[in-house]
Amino acid sequence: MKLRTELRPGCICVVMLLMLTALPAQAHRVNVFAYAEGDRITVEAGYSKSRPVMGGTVVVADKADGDEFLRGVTDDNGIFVFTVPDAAKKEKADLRITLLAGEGHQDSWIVQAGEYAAETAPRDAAASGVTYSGRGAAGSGQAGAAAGAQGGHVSVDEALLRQVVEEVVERKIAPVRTMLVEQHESGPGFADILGGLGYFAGLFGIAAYLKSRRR
Amino acid sequence: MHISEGVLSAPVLLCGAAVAAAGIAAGLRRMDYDRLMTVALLSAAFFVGSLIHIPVGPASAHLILNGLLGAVLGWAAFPAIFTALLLQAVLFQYGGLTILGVNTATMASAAVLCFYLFSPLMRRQGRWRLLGGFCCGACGVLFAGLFTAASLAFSDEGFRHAAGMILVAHIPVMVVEGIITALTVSFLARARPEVLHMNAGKQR
Repeated sequence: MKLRTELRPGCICVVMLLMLTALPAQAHRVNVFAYAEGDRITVEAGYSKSRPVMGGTVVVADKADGDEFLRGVTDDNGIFVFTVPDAAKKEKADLRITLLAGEGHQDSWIVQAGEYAAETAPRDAAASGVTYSGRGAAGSGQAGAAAGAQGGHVSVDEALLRQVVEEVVERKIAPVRTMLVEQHESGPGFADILGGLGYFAGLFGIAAYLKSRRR
Repeated sequence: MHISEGVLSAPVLLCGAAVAAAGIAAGLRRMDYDRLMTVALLSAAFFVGSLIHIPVGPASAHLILNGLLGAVLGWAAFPAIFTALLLQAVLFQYGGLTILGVNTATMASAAVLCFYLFSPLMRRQGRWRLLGGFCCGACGVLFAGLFTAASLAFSDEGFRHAAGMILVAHIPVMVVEGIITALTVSFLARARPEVLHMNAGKQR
């Protein structure tokens, strides 16, 4: 065991110093997060919550077959907003939203068809007065459509009501969503960093043990 | 400089993995008992260094420290960088597991290249050593950027565009790392010369 013990203090100091400076730093990982409000989808892109990806390319594609619907560029706040294209609505496609931040940085997020289709279906039905093709709310949908065929205003009222409820729920949910985004995009914490350093100590121990047995 | 998962095609991934495996084997062969501690500590420094961000314009750049690892460890930079990247991928989701080989290859090859280019200079005294250390640190980042761009050449982004983006974003990093490496090398040369001489003289 002629380990160079005199080497340790200096190097450990260097590592500790690096660790201290590292604490306020953020993740070097791109994140993309998207949510639907009606048929408008907002995409947020960031290296972390405080460093948005400016001018990153956003590609919206069908999750099932990879067909590209549209692409766009994030603004200075790392945000890109788009309206779900009709082609996607028709197919009820799950959207894969991929962010290309350059330099080989990439991340993706899935928006399920249900997230935007739930709100577009009733609106379509109200406009045309035809039966719902909607999922989930099939029971009430049939009733609403039947009423629409007879009277007209009833179904319009229901659509309006739906819209109002959606808006209120949207507003109530907003803070929760912000919290989710922050959680999703938060960088490595102190525990992760310390844990990583612990791994190095452990790996070194194992390697030293193996080497010492061999001699 | 961590390429994300899903950007590169399978042949590039395999190439990177092959280069990384060869480098790790070479590094492990040169890593004797006395150097283990140095390798582990520098690997930990690399691991933590990626969390230190240098704010530059729109891009996100952080310390890489591969030049420093090259200067002190030589070929042992391969296993050191591999270990650090593996832990970063698992704990922080930087890069990813499938792309580990490519990321190791780009950053560690640059380290070894710098080691061969600048270690004669770093073995000299005074100013020359500082200059050698600075070049080693700065070129470590430069070469890693070029290698990363080269591996992106077969993706949508293309070599020229990727290289331009990466190099512009990393100019401040190059300066900072040059200074860090120069100071560390000259400190080690004075305080712990055996650390540097390990890979200069009695390399088996």
